[in-house]
Amino acid sequence: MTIEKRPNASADKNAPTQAPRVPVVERGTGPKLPGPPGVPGTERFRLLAYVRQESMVRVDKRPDETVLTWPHLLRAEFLMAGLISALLVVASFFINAPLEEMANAGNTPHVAKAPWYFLGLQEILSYFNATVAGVLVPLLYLGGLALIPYIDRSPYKAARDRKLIWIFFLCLMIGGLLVTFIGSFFRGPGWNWVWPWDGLFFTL
Amino acid sequence: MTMNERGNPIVRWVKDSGVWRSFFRQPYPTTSRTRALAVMNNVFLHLHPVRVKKHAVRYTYTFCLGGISFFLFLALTVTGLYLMFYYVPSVSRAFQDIQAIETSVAFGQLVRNMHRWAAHLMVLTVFLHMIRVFYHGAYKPPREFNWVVGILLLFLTLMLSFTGYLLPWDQIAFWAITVGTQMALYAPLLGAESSFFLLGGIEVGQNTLLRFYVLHVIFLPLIAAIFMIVHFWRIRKDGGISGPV
Repeated sequence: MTIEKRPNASADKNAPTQAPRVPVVERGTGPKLPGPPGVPGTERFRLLAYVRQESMVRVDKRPDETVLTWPHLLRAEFLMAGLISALLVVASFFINAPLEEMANAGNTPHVAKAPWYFLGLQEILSYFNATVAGVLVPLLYLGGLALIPYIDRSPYKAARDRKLIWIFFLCLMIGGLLVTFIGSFFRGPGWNWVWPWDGLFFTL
Repeated sequence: MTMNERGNPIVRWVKDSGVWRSFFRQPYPTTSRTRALAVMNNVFLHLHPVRVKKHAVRYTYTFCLGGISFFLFLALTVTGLYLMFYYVPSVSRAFQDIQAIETSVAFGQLVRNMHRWAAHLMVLTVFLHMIRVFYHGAYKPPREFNWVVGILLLFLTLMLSFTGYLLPWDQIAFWAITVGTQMALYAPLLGAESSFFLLGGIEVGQNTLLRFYVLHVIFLPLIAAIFMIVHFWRIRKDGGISGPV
């Protein structure tokens, strides 16, 4: 059995570059089972199981650190479900969803803002022409995110081993956060700059 | 085998009955074997493997963000279903229906609030989930496809929230959707057509409300649910949750 040496020796068994592990028993290199040590060809083996190649069962199953789903995972799931439910009920008890007067196409408000997750786009719309802000940016943003696994082909997971994709991802995240933040809290009537302490034009 | 050799005779009689045992095929699982069986034999639980990696159940590994997103989707389905009983997607009724939900429907205001806050929270948790997955490099082979499915689910979450935003038919809703859909106007090739397709007219009106309603309550949840099934299935097929960095 050959194991490729990589910087992350502790990487999980699903790490990308490893070929499917087929236990190849070579003469003299097999697992050390009871038998005369070190003498090639004299190790003794026991047949533990016969697994067909095309079987769904993983042949390379090695002893690893696992716990039972019941109770360990289910406990976490039920706890979080309860916690989120409680949070939701309590928040909904105290904070009402906004509702203004009935829609009126003839009455344009001082500031018309998209839902908060699109305010970054609306902010970009004030810098660039509409094709860029309305079409190009969202397409490149979602497309860029979807392409991440195909851009970063390295098998490494640590941040220091994949600096380029980290920079790419951080640019998308921080850029998106910044324009969303500005669009949410720093824009008022006529999409003019307004400091949050001079007036907040933001509805959830 | 008699399951309850001690205890209340009535409880024992019920639990030993054929009816009870046809519903609950095994007693409360207390051993590794019965716990494994409990997960395998239950249609909802068998989404999980019988055993999971130890690091996967650490709260600080996933912060439960994917699970919370899914749970919020379920909560939104339940609260949304309740709201559907009292809401008609018509420009002459929608706003009044929301007012009625807030004032005269039992728990109406609470349920509407829960639906709203859960929707905002879900956009947030889906986004944070993506950041968590990126941090762990969990998009790497063999999980590239599942990452793409995840991005699609992020898009569907945004669309679900966006279509729902119009339904109260108040000034916030109307102008937010007007601004939002104007961006679609600017698509260079099919600008006018895509806008017309989205709005069902040249401006936000009755057709828009109906379109957004149908997308919001049937089409998008269904598509999202299908891709969630794919998403969860792929986690299993790609060897469970990814390992630590």
